[in-house]
Amino acid sequence: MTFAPLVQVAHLSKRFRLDRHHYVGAVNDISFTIGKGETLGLVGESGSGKTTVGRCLLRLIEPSAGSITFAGADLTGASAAELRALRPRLQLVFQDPLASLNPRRTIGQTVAEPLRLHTRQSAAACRAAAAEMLREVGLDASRFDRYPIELTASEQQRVGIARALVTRPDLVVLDEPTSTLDPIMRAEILDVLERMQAALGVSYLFISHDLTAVERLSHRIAVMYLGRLVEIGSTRALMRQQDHPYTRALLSAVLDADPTKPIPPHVVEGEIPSAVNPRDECPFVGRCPIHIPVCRDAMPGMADMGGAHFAACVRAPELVRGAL
Amino acid sequence: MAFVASKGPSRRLHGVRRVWAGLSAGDRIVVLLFALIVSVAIAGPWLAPHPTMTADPAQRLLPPSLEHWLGTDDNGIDVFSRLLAAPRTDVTIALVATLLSVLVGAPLGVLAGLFESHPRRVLSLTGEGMLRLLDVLQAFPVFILAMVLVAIRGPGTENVILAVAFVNFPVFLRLVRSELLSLRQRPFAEAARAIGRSDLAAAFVHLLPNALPTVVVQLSVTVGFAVLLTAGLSFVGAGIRPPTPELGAMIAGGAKFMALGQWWVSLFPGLALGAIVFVCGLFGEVIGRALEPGASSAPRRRRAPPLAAAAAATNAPAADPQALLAVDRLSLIGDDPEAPLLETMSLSLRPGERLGIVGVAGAGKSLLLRTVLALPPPGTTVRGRVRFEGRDLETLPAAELRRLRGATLAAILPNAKAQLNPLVRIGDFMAAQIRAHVRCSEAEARRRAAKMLVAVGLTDPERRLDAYPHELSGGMAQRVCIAIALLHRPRLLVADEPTAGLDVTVQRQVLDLMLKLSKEQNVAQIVATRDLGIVAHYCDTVAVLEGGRLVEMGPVAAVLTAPSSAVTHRLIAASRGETA
Ligand SMILES: Nc1ncnc2c1ncn2[C@@H]1O[C@H](COP(=O)(O)OP(=O)(O)OP(=O)(O)O)[C@@H](O)[C@H]1O
Ligand code: SF4
Ligand SMILES: [Mg+2]
Repeated sequence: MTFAPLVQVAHLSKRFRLDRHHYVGAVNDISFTIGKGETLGLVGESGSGKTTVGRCLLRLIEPSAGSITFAGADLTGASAAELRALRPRLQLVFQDPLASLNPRRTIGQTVAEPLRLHTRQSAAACRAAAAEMLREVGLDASRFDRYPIELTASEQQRVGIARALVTRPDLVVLDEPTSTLDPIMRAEILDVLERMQAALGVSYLFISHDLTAVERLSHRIAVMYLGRLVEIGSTRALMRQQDHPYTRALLSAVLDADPTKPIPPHVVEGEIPSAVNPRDECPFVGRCPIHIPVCRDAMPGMADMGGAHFAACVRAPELVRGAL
Repeated sequence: MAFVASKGPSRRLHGVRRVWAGLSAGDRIVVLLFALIVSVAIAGPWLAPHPTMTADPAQRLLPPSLEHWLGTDDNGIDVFSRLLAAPRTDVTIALVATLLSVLVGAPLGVLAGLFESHPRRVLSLTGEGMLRLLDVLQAFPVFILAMVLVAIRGPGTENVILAVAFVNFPVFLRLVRSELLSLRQRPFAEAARAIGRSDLAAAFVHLLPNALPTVVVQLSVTVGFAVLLTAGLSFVGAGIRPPTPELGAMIAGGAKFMALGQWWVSLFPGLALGAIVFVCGLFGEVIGRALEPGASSAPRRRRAPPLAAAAAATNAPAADPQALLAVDRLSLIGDDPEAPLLETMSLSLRPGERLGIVGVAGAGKSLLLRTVLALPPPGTTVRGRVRFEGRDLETLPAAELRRLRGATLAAILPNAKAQLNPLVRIGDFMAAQIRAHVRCSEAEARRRAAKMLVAVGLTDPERRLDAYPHELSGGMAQRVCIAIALLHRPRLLVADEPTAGLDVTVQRQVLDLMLKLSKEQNVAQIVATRDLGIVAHYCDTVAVLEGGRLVEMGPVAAVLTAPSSAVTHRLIAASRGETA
């Protein structure tokens, strides 16, 4: 499946300054695209910069360098007013559904708010549209005047999704939307997300640690490590064959719910390097089971592994050939 | 698609009666006393049995009697009558002044919070300047400052009000500012920006209302304090002058007779003043509790269908002599005694044993853990017993329990970021935790904290110790919390979703660390998780909860391969990616 491009990210970096001599390289020189109606899964180490990428895409934090093109327009240079006009098209769903909802507002108020802000519709029309959206994500009208604390976690997350989708956005960043839900609720929320994408043609950036969920929802998957993109490719290709040792480690570390299956070997040991003043080298080198001296010389570039599958590892060709 | 709706009747905060019903007996007394003060402030002057301003030299300084319950003062006026009339003056001045100070202080506090660390230099400097100015202002003793103000502007009710308001507005400014700084870290604040609210609008529309409980608590405390200040000003003659009935002036007027044995003239006004200040302070706390969203609508649970397996599981043997932890027919009763939040659960845990707790959301996993930690949610009643190392946690004195908790009995709770104080650096937070249990120097505490951070897989511990919570990613914050839990080599670790939000390779490292603790140091563990994979490979036994009941419990291999209950079946299916 190919998608017309919606978002193009080129050489995006975000540095958080700590003091005169130190900064956190949260995101370093990352490029990727997201197509219209496509879901790009974003996985990676905790602290690898996934959330930062998502926030930069929405300009909720200012990128330090690089450009983001959204629907043909330059998002990085957009003024505050232009940005406000774009807000309804760029939305966000949070990890912790309850925390993301204002405890003092009813569900209806919360979902109607984006419409009140961005359209000239009457209060009644906004309410009606919000109720309609809530119904579409599977919440019945009786929930409309409830407060977030009165709902189950699954319902709360539906409210978060409804709030994000009510303005019919082009892109929604889903930052670990299912990580606080139990398996049954998770399945429900993934259903809702899939259904809404089919209905609205919205694109998702789906950030998650849950590889099963990522596999299910994403058309393509991008893998981050310590602020770098290390591998990106179609879900099918990536699941069949990982061209970067970190992706390999990631997929092999997944624990199966079946206790009779042997516990998968723990291939990576060692500490996650610090993101403070990152060096120009492969970020995985300290934990990589197959590292060689040259890995320390520079950050390996993204190499085309064929079939729109890219990996940033000097030994990727060997890995693919099965020579390792 | 299966859609689980909560069918429990949901009650909302509306209605005074609902709030009243949710109050404890002590709280009700406070509310009644406060109502009494308000009534006296309103109606006092009309209720007075004797004239309150007309002197009667014939009746001077009479001791308390049936005619004059609290005696008479040096003008021959009935003290009781004046006491009824006086609060109107003090309370009105205090109320108006406090309202004024909150109306000025709160918006300024919002601005100060917004301006602080604002990328625009002008604004951040303005915010900075505002706080410096306050520092200077607050360096003066409040009372002196108020006296100076009245001295400059001259006596008179408005000037007393202005002075009292002026010395109190910094309190609200600072309070709202710090509330705002912490509310700003909450995801819903970011959500407001994400839908396109400006910072300013988001602060007033979404954040300020959430600072309300704290402000209201402070409001009430401040009213009490303002009464004291007003009385103080009058006492030194800088406030309300006699003959207007006013507490401070009454105390002052009677003070010189104290030594002569005519104690009643100033003692009773003094007591009244103390009572007003005290009750105002307590009332604030009651209101604060009642204002918490959902305070009067505790989560309600659906009652699980009776299951054959449930009966079997709840009657599981409880008296294991080797048990480190023994939970015996534990129930947790909330609002509705008909639908307990937890129902007669029994389980036990030996040293080094790892118990996994699973179930759909709302099944009671976290409640069970909290109850085991003797931290049941407010407003609930615990039945049954929890014994830890042979001691009954319920009856343990609070101090003992505190020592136990955080040391031998450690907890890892979900939502790590929420537990860390947004205004305190990680290192200071951890050092305080350490020093609460062990006597050691600040430097030593810091060294230990750094060591623990390395143990949970964080690099660059020195820098992490200097970080504020918002500078950490979710996974790092979680690991910091795990490190805190492990600081004191606990015997039992109670963990609620300990690895949520961690990438699978780090998750494995944390789990391996926990496994090592159990194997090498015999640390028993209770782990609530929604990830059956963790249970399958890192736990010995598993307990399945549904609707507050234990529906199934047994060795992991048995339960996960041949589940006997429907929930377990569904959980396993959903974990495999099959749609429920
Ligand atoms: N405001 C900030 N100031 C300083 N450092 C920050 C700030 N926000 C994030 N960071 C750092 O940037 C890096 C990336 O963080 P980010 O939250 O994007 O990671 P993540 O991949 O989303 O992690 P997780 O999976 O744990 O949510 C981390 O090292 C984090 O400590
Ligand atoms: S570049 Fe070297 S260190 Fe990095 S992943 Fe490849 S082999 Fe390992
Ligand atoms: Mg994140």
